[in-house]
Amino acid sequence: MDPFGCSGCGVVWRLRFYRGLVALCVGSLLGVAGSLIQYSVSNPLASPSILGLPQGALTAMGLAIIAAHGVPPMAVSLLAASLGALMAYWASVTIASRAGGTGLGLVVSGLAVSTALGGSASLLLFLAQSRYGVLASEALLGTYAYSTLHDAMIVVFAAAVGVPSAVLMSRMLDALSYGDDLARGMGFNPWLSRVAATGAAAVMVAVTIYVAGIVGFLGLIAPHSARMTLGSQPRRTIAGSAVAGAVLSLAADVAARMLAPLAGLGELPVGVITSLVGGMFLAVLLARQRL
Amino acid sequence: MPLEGCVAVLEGVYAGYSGSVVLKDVELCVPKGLMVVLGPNGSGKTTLLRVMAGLHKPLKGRVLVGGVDVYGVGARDRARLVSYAPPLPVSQGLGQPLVEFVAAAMYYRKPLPGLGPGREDLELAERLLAELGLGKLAHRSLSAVSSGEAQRAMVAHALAKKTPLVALDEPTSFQDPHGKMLVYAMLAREAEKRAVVVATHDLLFAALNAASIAMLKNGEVIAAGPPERVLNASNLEELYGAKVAEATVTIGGRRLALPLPLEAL
Repeated sequence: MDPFGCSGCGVVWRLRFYRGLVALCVGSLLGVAGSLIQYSVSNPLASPSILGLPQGALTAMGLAIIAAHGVPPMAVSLLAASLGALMAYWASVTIASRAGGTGLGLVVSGLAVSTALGGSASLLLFLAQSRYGVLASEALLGTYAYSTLHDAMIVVFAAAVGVPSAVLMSRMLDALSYGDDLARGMGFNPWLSRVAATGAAAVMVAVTIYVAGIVGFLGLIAPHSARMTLGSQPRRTIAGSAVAGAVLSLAADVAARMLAPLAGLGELPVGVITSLVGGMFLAVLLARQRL
Repeated sequence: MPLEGCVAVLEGVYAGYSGSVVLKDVELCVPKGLMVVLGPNGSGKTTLLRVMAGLHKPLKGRVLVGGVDVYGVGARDRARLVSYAPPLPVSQGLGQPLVEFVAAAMYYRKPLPGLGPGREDLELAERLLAELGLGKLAHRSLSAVSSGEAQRAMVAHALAKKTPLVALDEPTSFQDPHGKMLVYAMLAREAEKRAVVVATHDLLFAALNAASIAMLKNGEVIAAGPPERVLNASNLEELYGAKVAEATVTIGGRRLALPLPLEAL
């Protein structure tokens, strides 16, 4: 029954094992989602959390909890979260194109969308907690601490399907990164292609929100790390960001677990670490203007 | 208009952007060989090329390439018919090397699923880049080369596709004299195999290389035909609204009427 030998410590190790699996797969999913977004909008400053996808997903999940007067079935949560992420992407991109369609314009409009949706997500989750007793506000700052076998199975499945699918979209993403006219010349319908890439990214983000909450900026750091080490061809960046995302995510979780006792805390959400590092990373990218 | 011998045909094309009509009743036969589109700034050259390339649906009229309506087929079939190059890539990608940018042009043969360009396409891209003097820059990215170099890579990308029609919008606007010669030489070679349409302000290039010229003013074709018939002072004065004198020169045994801007003399 217990694969780890002794019965008492087996529980701890099993939970650690699920937690590690969730950390690795959430990191992969966010890294790959980041690559999908970056190539489809041809902007190295874009990422799911910068364009508000996780915040949109969480808002939609909050709405689903309130509509269901409690925790809705998993399929409903995931569907709502995916649609919420897509809506957030659509809002950021639409505002950016009205603002002149520049690379920085996308970051600024994403800031507007992600901040507003972050606020609405907090509001809805606090409401859900007080009215229906759903403990969901941890999701605002993602954590892997409460990972279960169920969570682990979901993310492993999502990563096993999502990562290879994204790699097989490499040509499409390559084409999109050169703009709509050239993508058409390469035989792609830019609108449909972007819907496919963003749809895939939205589902991946939704899964991570469902199991862990908002783990910000992994979707920005992982693609950059992959491009710097493996090369900027989408096939390399996507595969690389799956690995980089997984490693960074696990490292951030280990760091959070080691820092928590030092700070006299029981648990430190991993999202705190990734936001701290990711925010500085974005600052460096902006300051270096390596766009 | 005789329709045999036309690779592309524009039939009564009106095209524009929300509210303003840019092209008015354009009838044009694009034969095999090099066609140069001349016209002042804002005359509709870019719109004409994008309409031809299946990128801007006309308000009225049809565009046929090889007898097929380019707006009546899907993205992939359209990509088989036409190739288009803007003066510079509108978006520079995320740092992919030039050789992959050029080879990516061939994705239209098998868009999905796919990891990247095939080996043969990369070899073709490498050859095209070398012919355009970019052999040493093949592994740099679009954002890491000069405008002139990026423009030559753009030309290579457009010519890598084996389409019956290629439309290039001011493909030498950022070129130094040597770069210009490299691009023109490649265009001349390609024009032996298919229809190559070039929008440009280079009258010398038009006089020397074009098999036919189309003059576009305020969205209307005011003259079209071989250079010896349409490239004269009266047409050019009407086209650009500037006084020109005609100098007759002989270059390589070809007698040409070249316009000289009078105001500059």
